[in-house]
Amino acid sequence: MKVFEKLLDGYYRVLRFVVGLMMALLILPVAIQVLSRPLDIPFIGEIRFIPRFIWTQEVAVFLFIWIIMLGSVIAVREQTHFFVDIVPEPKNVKMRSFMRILVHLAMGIMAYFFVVDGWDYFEFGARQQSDYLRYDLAYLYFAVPLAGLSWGLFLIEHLVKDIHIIIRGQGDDGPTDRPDALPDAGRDEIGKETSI
Amino acid sequence: MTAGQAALLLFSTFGGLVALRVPVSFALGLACLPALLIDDRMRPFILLNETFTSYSSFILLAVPFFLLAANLMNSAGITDRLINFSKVAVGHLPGGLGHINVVVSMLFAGISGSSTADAAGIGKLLIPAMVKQGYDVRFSVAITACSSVMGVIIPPSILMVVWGGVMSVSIGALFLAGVLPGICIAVAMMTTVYVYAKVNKYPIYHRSTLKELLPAFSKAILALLTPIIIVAGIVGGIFTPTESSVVAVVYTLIVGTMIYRTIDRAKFVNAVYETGRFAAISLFCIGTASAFGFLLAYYDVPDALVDWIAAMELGRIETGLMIALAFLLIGLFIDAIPAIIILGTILFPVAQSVAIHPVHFAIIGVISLAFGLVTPPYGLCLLIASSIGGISVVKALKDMAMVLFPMLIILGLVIVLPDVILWLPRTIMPQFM
Repeated sequence: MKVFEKLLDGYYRVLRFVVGLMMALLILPVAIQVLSRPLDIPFIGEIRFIPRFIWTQEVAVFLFIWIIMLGSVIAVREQTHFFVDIVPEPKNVKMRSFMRILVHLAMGIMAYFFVVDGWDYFEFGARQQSDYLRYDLAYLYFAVPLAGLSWGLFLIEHLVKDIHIIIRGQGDDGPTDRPDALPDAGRDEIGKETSI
Repeated sequence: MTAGQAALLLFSTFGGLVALRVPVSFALGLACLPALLIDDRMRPFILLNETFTSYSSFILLAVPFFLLAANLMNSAGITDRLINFSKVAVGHLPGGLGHINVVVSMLFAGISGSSTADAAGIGKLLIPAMVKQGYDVRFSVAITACSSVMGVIIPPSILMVVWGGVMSVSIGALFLAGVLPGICIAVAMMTTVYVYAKVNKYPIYHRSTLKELLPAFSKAILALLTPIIIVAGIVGGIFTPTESSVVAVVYTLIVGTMIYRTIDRAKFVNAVYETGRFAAISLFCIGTASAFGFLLAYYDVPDALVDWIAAMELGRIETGLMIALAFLLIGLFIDAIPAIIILGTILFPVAQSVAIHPVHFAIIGVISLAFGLVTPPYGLCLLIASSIGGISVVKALKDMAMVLFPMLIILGLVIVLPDVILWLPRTIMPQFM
């Protein structure tokens, strides 16, 4: 179990790195697209800094989709997908874990569809090419079964933890503080003195 | 299946799963599954394709970029400069920090388009400061959360980008239409702060002299220029909304790394990763919401709704009120982005059947959904602000209601006075109206 957890931890760190890197790279194609726009300056006429690129949108959308799918995996591990508190959470630790197991199982059903039908979808992508760059769409559609499989792995991890809690009657694997899901929500600097 | 049965099945499955605490994005996808069992013509492949293709939109790319611009602004200390500028501009009014909170949110909104980044960035600085000066923590949390919703009303706005992308409405026109209601909401909130401060005798700063105003202004000027660059760029047809969002990012990066020199590598890396992660969480549900919306349309739910409402023979204003009510209700429970995709697309034909202008319809929707950002059980901005203030959400509710009430009146005015809302886009961008 420890080995499994360590492997998942490593995988999670790789995912974080890739999502950060892709987000930084995403700036480039769109910035290039803006620069490739001709500027119509009075008296001088049209100026074009760099030749017009048509591939920029395709590269941007490719990165964007991978960020969304991999980010959804990260959020399954961190349990930071948005959920709603309509029904109050049970006070009993075991009961809480039991409720969470139901959630893991429900999410597992979706993971199943993303793996099994996602594989067909991936094969469907393998028969197509993108409009401009003519790359194999399988590289893009692979995100679907991969996301499903990765959700599944992290859901199993949570499931095992919650089953342990029910058996031992202690510990907690619940979603941590909710605003943690938010960008820079002041985790470290809350309450810090300011100059005002 | 009739439209009514399909709607009942989809929404009750979704509601049940959400009540069980299944994340909203997964609940939307799972709610589509019963249709697979009942309807032979429906295949998982169709739903998966519906989900996946919804992401391949160049317009949606503006969402992570506007978020990134906001995160970079927070880490570059641009937010602090805006606070200082607001302090010299409105700090001398009774309830100074409350006014500063509103004005900074308005300025921040002009750059970022994200309410959550607004609540986090400004709340972190101003809530502790307000508490230290003797403001009630509940009021500080309430005003921070409520003022942050201007982020999605004042241009640029992430919600308007999604709205324009999904329903093919000019995003430039939406941005312009958001200016006036945004300013009205700011004025309404400042009035509330004024009354509150008078009643509670809150401290005031001395009035700033021109000597103090000018340096604070010059320190904030680079940040204040951003909304002008963005809106002028889009309205003038120089960039598309997505391109303008990347211009905002590059501009903030240049200002932060070369001029203010406050963004280092670690801050940049952190901002990029946090943006990617948060954008993914917010946008993932666009896919599952699209599959959900596809099924609603497949079973003719929008048409049935149009017929049903037509039978009631409602006028334009009554329909507008109903639309606002529907968005307010759904906003209580789910995030604004899936709400736009599910409810927006259903109600669009309803709005058209009574000749509500698409831009007017969008503004009613966006303002109503903005309330959802601060209303429990699912109000992200309220959650952030109360976690910074260290109080439970319930404690802030009374003060929230007080700040939200004038905002509700503005929503009412927006519904009743379409010509006022549409005046600015009609004047500046008549070709898109």
